[in-house]
Amino acid sequence: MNIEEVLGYLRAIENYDLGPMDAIRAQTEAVGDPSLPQPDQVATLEWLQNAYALWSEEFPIEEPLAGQLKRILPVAAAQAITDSDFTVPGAHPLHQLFDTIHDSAIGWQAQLGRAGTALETLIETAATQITDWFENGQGDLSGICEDIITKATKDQDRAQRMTQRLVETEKGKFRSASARWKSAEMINNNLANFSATAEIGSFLKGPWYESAQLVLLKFGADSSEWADMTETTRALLDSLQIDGSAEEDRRQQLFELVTKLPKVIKRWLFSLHMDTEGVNDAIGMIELTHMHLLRQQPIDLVQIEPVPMEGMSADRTMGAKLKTIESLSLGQWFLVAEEGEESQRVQLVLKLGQEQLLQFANKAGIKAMQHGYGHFCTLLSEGKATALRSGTSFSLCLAHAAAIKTDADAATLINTVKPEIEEARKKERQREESEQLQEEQEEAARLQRENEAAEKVQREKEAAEKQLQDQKEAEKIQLEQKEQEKEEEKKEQLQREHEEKERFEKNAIERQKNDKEKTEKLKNDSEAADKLKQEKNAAEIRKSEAEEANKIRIEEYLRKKQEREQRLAQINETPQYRSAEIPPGAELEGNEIRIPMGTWLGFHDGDTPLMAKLAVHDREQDSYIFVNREGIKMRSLNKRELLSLMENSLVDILEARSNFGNPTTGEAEDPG
Amino acid sequence: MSSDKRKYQRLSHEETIFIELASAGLGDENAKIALCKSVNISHNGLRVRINHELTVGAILQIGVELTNAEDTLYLAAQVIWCERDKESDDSWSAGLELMNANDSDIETWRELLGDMDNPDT
Repeated sequence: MNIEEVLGYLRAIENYDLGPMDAIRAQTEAVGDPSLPQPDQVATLEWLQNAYALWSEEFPIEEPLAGQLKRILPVAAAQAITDSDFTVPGAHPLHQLFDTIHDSAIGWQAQLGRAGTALETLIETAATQITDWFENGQGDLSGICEDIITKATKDQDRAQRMTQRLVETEKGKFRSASARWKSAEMINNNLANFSATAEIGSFLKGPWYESAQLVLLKFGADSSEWADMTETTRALLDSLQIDGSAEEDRRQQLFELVTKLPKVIKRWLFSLHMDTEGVNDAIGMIELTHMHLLRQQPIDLVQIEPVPMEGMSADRTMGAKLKTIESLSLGQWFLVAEEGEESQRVQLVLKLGQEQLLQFANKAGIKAMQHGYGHFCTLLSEGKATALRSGTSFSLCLAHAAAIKTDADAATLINTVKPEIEEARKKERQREESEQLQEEQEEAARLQRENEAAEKVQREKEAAEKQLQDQKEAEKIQLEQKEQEKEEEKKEQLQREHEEKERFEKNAIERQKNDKEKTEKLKNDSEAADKLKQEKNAAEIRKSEAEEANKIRIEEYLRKKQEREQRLAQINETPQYRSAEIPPGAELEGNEIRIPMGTWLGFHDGDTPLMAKLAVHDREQDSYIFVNREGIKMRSLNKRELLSLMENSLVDILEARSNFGNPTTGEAEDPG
Repeated sequence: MSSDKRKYQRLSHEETIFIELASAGLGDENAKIALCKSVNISHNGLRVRINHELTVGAILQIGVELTNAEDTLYLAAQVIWCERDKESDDSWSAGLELMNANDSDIETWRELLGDMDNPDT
């Protein structure tokens, strides 16, 4: 059988479940053709067939993606017998295509819904483009592969960004929870050692507890600020432990303490920073209690109930299981199938050592599940959770099918090929960088020339000014000399006239007195200026602290807001809301169009396109109000009008996003 | 002054409010958030004092941290009026009317303030 006949049989394959060699045999038997491909071609086709079967088994992806990829196999077979590059694993564009698509599709599942549509479409398009190329022979296969690899990589990058955002949110959440737990622990430890009045108990479990969390979030548990706050808590409770029979020394100690405590407490009351009245009330209450103690009046001390700490402890009895957990890598994919639940492909995105928790996200970057270390180890040992392999999967299988037995040997082979491919890409990047560098150097040279010219002009100007100044100085000296001469003449005259000399001496004494007064005045003015400067510095420090506290509050607020957005987004992801008749981003819920608040829409039913976001959907009034960034109303529609625009493709969902944006990019305004 | 009465006054006068002056745009524009205090609150709206002039008619996202509520309430509000304070050049008072918006916490707000009816806003 000549090569053209083999290619003809490969183009005619209809049953993609058979490998390419088996498919050729099935066709030749069906038509009674006794010939076969050349022995070296048979060997190559069987090698590819075995490699693909191994790949499907060891690196499975879900249907319908796996079925779409099988359509490319006959093309790969044709390349295997016509392109010598194909025999080197990792060298051929189709190897790289299968490797990249597997990396992107490892977490894909049909239940992802709209979030998985982009990848599904990409793979379907890839299969169609490549099979079209095979049938028509037009175009450039490596160009097609390169384009698909770029798109798949972008899809992967997008998913990674979503995952990173989730990780940051979760870390923030656990940082807050940890601050809550540590604050409660610190206050409870002190409450266990001391009794207190009910009012001080409420204060400690209220504003003081909230302030402790803010101090931890801002400075951390190892900071001197946190140590100071802990000591202040102890000192406050200790100051109450005195009765009428206390020694004079203890009373003196209390007197010294109560003069210092209010100032220190005020410093750490971050939670009441905006509430001057609240601060004054709290400090007033503490001062009043101390006043009673100093006057030896009785106060009611009771044992205060601790701050509730439900759900704040972790399992500390892990032992050997920790080794298993340590061996799990962030970014690793797992197939998890708990009893009674649908199996899920999830990626390990976060290990929380202190809480002993593992967090997993799905391909859309949405939190999919959370397990304690112990429970996940059990799932692994029971086979309910299995690690999914990734990497240069197809190239590895090609190597294994060629009797290269270990992953390490296969990886070595692939890594010797990869650099050559990447060398070409690297050279292109270097060429671009070189051009950019040259442009920058030219720009720098131009700027230097301009600077030198400007400096020259400046030097000339300074020289002219100096000359003028020297001239003025000379005139001034001449004038002074003349005045000095006059003065000398005058002195001589005074020496001659005794009476005038006496008057001159009297004037001198008066001048001395005036000078002394002037010196004292200058000294007083200087002291007043120093005091004013100190007060100004203190005010600036206070202002800076207030701004910092407000920034923390706004970041905390935005974080909570984003969590809420994510919860709403997860509700909207449920498949029953999907509809083919309305644009992506909008949902038809029962008889109602469901668009998340804050979604940006593009209207092009008028003369000029308009972008606006959904600010209010009032179900009772049947109105959808759209505004610009500053909240100015741009459109108001009822459901029927909006549906009509959607059906006529006169409106696009540009981006469904949080009204309050990314917490890391929020800008704080001065507080009112 | 009884403690109950005092609590009621705090609820009705000074709560922490976050106001979104500008939302995050489609590009790289960041959201601009102002932190301020309410002067009084009612079933249908609230009056705030803020270091920023608000545009009358604008529909803005706001967050309210009520002292007697566990979670922040997220609401949509329309600016009804805004005046510069006589005693300060960089301080404004503004009246905000709350809107019936899906996805917002307006129902919770009204439950919490069910007994109040302050016509000032």
